[in-house]
Amino acid sequence: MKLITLLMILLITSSYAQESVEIEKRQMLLKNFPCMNCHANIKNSKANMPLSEPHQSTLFKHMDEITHCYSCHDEKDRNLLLLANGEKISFDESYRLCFQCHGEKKRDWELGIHGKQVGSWSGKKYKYVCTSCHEAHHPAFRLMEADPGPRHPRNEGENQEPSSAANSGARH
Amino acid sequence: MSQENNQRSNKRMDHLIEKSMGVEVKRRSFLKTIFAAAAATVVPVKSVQAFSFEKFFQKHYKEMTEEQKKKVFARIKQETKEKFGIDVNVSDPAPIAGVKFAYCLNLSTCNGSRKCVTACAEENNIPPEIGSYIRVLEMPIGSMNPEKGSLFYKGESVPKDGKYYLPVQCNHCDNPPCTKVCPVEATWKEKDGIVVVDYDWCIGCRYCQAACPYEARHFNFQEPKVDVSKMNTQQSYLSNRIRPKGVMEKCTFCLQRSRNGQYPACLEACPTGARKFGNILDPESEVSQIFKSKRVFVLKEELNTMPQFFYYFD
Repeated sequence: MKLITLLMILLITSSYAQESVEIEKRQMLLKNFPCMNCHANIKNSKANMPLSEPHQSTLFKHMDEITHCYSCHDEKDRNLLLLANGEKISFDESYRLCFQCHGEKKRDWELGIHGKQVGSWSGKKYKYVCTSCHEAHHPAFRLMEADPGPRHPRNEGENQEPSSAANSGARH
Repeated sequence: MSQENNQRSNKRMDHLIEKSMGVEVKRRSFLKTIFAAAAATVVPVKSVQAFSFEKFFQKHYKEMTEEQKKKVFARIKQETKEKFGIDVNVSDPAPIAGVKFAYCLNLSTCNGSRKCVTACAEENNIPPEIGSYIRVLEMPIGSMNPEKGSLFYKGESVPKDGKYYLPVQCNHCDNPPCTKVCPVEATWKEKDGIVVVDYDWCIGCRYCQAACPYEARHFNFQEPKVDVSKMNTQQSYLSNRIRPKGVMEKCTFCLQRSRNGQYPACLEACPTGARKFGNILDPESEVSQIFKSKRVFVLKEELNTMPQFFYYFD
């Protein structure tokens, strides 16, 4: 009997141990990584926008009056990011950089409330980091194109709002 | 003597038919058509009858044994194969003990992109006449009145200024008005909180559609037209199997996914992470954390339906 309870406890603890959250790894998803492939030979410490190739499309719009490239990127080792306290972190931990200011989002993200989580509600979860949804250099969400809505009963086939006011009462 | 009688009666018959149909009819051709018509009506009935007989005497889903369920799943599998020429896997995961599902939706982050709407339709094999179980309302900021919302907004660039987006689907109420009105008990609330419909038991009276204050129930007016190439073959008896004509259907929190530990399809499709799903009885789950730290509300609280679909702003 004791053995069975012991086994049960073991089973339960092991099932809880399985319940873990895997945080998305961003570094391998970066297009031009490792940065030092090029930046080892380029000694340019100026931070003028717009940037030259291949970063010409980077639009920087995040407190751009008080922050610049080297607020977040390490000037010497471009493969790393720089925290305000001087600690250098990899791109996989980029969320720590964001959470220096966004404390409220940090709390919610750690609880799993803010941000996207996929996988299993009961088991292994896969958690997205800040920059998988928010562009790192333009964190505000851009406008999106929406998928088609329901068919209007009077405008068959067209996803269009009719001129009359009674448009929300359509039943399907 | 008898021959003469026969002939006379035949002539009388011909006369009657000619009179009623206005055409000259030979007895032989008349009999031919009769036999042909009889054959035409009998033959297809016979081939279908083997299945519909079984379906006709099928028990209520809650009274079925595991054996009977297996037989029903096999029948549905074969019917789908005959109709669409595609092999599907029909099962029905049971509610998990100690689990009650709840859904939370962050209206501050929802941007009205309707990705959930599309994902729902694909996951649940929803015909285009119904569209999706999720309807996104474009609401003017400052109003909580769903009547002020627009369902048919154009979506070239969302979110629009001065609008917020309110996705509405089945609220899986703890006090569901829809199940109470069903005259045949074809819809009920399961132990894990999911309100389901037995499509084989539903008589299509649409009382539940009228009773639902969230317009979350949808009726199959016609034989569902499902794109076979996009059909989800992982099907469940109570959720996303192909529905027949003349029955109700609704959101089931994707029970074919959620009861196997996955998130519903709408959650995984959301580009903003506004949707949160989980076990309300687990204090560590996302939904429980939201109840602890956010101010949640439900739609039409005054109706005392006790929805299990919560909204919040943050």
